Amino acid sequence: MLVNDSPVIALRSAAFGYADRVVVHDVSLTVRPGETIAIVGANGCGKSTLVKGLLGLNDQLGGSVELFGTPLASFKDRSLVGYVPQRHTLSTSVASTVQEVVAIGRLPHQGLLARLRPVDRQIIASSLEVVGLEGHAREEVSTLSGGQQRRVLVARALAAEPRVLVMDEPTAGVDLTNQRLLTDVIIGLRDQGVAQLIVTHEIDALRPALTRVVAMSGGTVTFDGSLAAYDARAVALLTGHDHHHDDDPDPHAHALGHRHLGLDEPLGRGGHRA
Amino acid sequence: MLDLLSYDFMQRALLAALLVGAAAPMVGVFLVQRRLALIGDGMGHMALAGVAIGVLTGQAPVLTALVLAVIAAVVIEVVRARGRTSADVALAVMFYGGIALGVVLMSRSTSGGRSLNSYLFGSITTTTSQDIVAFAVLAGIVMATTLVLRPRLFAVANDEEYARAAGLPVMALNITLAVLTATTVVVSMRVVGLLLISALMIVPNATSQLVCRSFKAAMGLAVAIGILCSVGGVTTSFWLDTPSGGTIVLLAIAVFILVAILVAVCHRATARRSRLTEAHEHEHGRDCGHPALPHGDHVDYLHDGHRHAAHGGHYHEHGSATMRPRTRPSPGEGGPEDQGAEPDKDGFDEHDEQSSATTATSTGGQGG
Repeated sequence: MLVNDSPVIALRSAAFGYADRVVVHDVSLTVRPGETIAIVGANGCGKSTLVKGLLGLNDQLGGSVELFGTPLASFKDRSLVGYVPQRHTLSTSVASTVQEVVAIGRLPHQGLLARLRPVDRQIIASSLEVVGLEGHAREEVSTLSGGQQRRVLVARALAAEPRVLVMDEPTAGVDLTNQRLLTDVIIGLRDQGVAQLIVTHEIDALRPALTRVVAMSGGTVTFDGSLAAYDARAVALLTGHDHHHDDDPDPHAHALGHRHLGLDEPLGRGGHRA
Repeated sequence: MLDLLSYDFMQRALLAALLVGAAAPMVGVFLVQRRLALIGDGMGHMALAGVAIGVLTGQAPVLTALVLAVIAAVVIEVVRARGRTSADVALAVMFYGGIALGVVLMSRSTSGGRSLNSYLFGSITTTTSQDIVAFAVLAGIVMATTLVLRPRLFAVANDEEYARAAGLPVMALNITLAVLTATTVVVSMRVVGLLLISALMIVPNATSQLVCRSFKAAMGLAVAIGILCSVGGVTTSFWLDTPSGGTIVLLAIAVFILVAILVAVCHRATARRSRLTEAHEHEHGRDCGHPALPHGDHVDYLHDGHRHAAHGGHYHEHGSATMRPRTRPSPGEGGPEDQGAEPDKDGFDEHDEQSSATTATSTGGQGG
């Protein structure tokens, strides 16, 4: 099983940004199958820029980035990296059903005509089932609740059968029931060996699903370790200071030597869970 | 109607109307989706300059208009993709430049004003058989390309960022859509006119959006409405001796208003039916604690003695449930912490309170 456990994402001193403007710099990160990683940090710390860089939505401006062993610049099989954006990226100016939106996820696997084959329909149906929307396939997306719409986007990403899933604040603005449902979906995917990078401000909602936390500040990674280590660090920071700003340059994180901890940790703990 | 077809020019006009009526809404739905409803107008302005160049130089106006409109289409997409804040102004300068150049150049030609009017507002009588062959070929290419690319054009217009992340050739698809739009503008200029063509791309789609829930159905209905209005408008313009373009667009708008009124009346009728359940925030699902009852192609949930059927964001009453649930109630799978399965008398109120309390908690959580 050595092959299966080889890194799906490997960054060394990577920098991302837009045109010439570097936003994220000096990031080294290795992600293996089944790892579920929360990427946390204050607004503007570079979380979104980092994951969008992996998705090919901005420019790599330095270092080395490999997806499934292939350098990012020559990586073609984009459907391997799924994406759940924030809800507001969906155009609602024209009606579309849940089925139609989720079917978009199948496009990279289809031929020129992109007509749905039985296998595509089956995968769309099972993706909807995973997110608990199996009875909603024919409904118009814009009539669904915010939490349901978020799950439509998760289903669309799943329909592409990704091995890495990037989610941008999946729990933001979603009620507790939907947060629990999403967390269950994330746990299910983790147990199937899908690596997940979850940009979030609400780590507590996702706690049961997480195997690792990466904290960012000032455009680079300041902490990379287990949930327990992250909690311990938070306590240390709270007791060490009267208050704590994520924006501050954070000597503690470097001193702890946690930046590359992920490499040495027992990997994919969730992935090996029965 | 039959004596209408005995005129050669009317045969051509009706054929052109059929092509335009189908092609324009088919392309237009993607423009509506991308919130570019007015882009067709700009391309029409540029096409006018092309027509004028053709008239002056003795080239076929259709060809020169097509060349200029396609150039405009590509420039529009490139300027938009660069995402500069001045893009809007740059496009405006280009469009006004196009129509101004068209008007000035046309005034230099011998046929002058009359010809200008026929291009701006459509003129069924001036469509030559050469024109109609060119239109048929172009419209055929536009419709075939649009149908083949429909899933991809839909994906890009629906969520451009996701499409890019999924590896779709977003820029190429956007330029293709722009070229399809430009071609549709040129094909339509004899029937609808360059100033009104955008209306035939947009208004039938606005109408179909009032009634359709799926993209596919909406596109089909828009094409049907487009053909109806286009052929109907050309026929009406023959009897009333009015410009075809204006007549078609007025007809399309009349259909829109009629459908809007009908939809409003129907909504009022159904609103009464779902009033009871509309306010309820609780979402029925596998783990919700309410017994599931299969009902035709969907699932009702037994709720306080009523059957609730999900319909968009709310639930419809599907009568009171007198029969026993045929499937095992789902709460068994839901886990012990879920509420009991009994749809007791107070169940409705309890759930409402509970879900609003939940909402309040989560909102509070984000605020803090």
